[in-house]
Amino acid sequence: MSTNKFSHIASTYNEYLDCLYDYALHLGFDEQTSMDAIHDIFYKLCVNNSRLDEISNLKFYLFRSLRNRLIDLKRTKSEIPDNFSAEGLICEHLPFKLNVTVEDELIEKEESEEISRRVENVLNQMTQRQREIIYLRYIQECSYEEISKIMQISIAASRNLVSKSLTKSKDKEAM
Amino acid sequence: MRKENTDFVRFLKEETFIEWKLFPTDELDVYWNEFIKNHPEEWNNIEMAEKHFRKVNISSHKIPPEVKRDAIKRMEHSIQKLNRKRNIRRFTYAAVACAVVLVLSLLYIQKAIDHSEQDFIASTDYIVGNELDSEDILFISGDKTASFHKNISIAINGDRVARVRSELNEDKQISLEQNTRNKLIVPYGKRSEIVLSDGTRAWLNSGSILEFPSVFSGNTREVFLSGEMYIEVAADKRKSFYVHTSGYKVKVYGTKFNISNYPGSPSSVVLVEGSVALQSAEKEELFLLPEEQALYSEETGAFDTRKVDVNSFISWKNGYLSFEDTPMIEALKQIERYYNLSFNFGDDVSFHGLTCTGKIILSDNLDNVMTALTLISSTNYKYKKENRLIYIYKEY
Repeated sequence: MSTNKFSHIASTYNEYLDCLYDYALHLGFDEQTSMDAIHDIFYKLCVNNSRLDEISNLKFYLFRSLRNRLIDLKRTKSEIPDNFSAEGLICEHLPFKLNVTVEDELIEKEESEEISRRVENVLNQMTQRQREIIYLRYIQECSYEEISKIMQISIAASRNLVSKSLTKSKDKEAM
Repeated sequence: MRKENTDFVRFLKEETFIEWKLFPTDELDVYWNEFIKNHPEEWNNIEMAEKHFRKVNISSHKIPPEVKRDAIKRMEHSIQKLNRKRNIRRFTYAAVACAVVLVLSLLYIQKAIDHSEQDFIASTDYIVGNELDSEDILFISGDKTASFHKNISIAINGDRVARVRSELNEDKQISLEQNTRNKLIVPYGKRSEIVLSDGTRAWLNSGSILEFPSVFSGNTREVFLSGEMYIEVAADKRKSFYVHTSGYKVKVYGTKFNISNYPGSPSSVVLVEGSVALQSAEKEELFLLPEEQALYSEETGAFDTRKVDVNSFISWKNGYLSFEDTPMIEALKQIERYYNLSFNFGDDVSFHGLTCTGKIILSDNLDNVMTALTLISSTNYKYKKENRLIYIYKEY
């Protein structure tokens, strides 16, 4: 019976490896650390005898475990002080980078490039954590509720932020 | 055709639109909803822009195929290793279990061989005690049985409902049958307290069975005891209270007393307060005065009375044992019952004639109790515990 359970874990690993790897790299970790961390969280599932079918939202569970594991790894390397939970410190120590490409037959190449630049511009004006939210929402298709649990923050609070681009365009209009 | 439709691209270049699509804050929602309201002609373009915005990709990192292959292999390897470790552990458990059985049987054979020798040792030097497995307290009413792992106190009210509270602070309600005799079985190593339907309160010592009705409906109140209890009978002049034991019955006239009726130990009643009458099958009623003990003789069916220190007979209910020139064997028997042990004293044990005087707190720690016992004994005895075996021996 336990062999079946383990083989289930192996197939789940296979299924989620790509998206977890992508997330870890976006969080600014190198390839080796990312792969190790993913290995660790799955190994822990085996050791704890976790039943995957009893975890109601597996993808969300794995993302949260991975993020915590990565933060732990960073902490043991003492790159992060213990009072890590402070919002400012997370921003400092977990950079979140997003690169944009536009692939649209309908749009000419030059225009595509401009759109990419503009999108990157918008992304760069955001905080690391806002970018992480966008990533989880658009790439990993998590709900806001899941995102707030994965990142242990309140999404409502960040949604009330003043829009930088809007302020800028209003300034332009005023000029 | 295509050219005509690219008007929407304007929006894709607008940062407020991009931000709205990426991270719709309340502020941006308001801004763009307002915009659509004021420019209905742009509705189509905005819809197109939204559709094409999905073609904006945020780059993803692909795992090189060979890296992925290795990672999966590594994971499978880890799982296999873990599985093997588990199997080994399981095998180890089985092996240990076999070994234990083997050792036990060897010990048994050894014991059989050494029997004569052991008798010799026991008769001179030491007593061996054995910790027994703990049993549950049982409360039986009709065909219902409730069992409790920890000591309990039961209160029975007039509506034939027993409220049971265990030391774990779990409350349990049991409704009792009308015309049944209920049984409270307290095994060795456990204690219980019970308040009967008339308000009579009894403390049951280890290894006791009390039988009592759900309500006292007749002209008398009658309960049946084997073992030991301290009881405070609620006064009721119209309904006499009787405690039946195997050899005699105690008629109570509103009172407090201790009654001890263990098989293999002298049976006695010690009166604390009030008055009781004892009656065995053969003899006349015997009235007992406070601070008197009546010792029952099974052979003659007669009682022997003497003045005693009451406290040493009821102290167990307050969590300690009190001895005064008490035979060592008797003290050990009390401890044996209280902690569910089994000592091997035969008739030839050298402890005969030894006494102890003092108090022993009945703590949860058996070591403390045994150490205390060796300290208050008249001869200098030592005590040693090995696994579940207890040795009490003379030190030279």
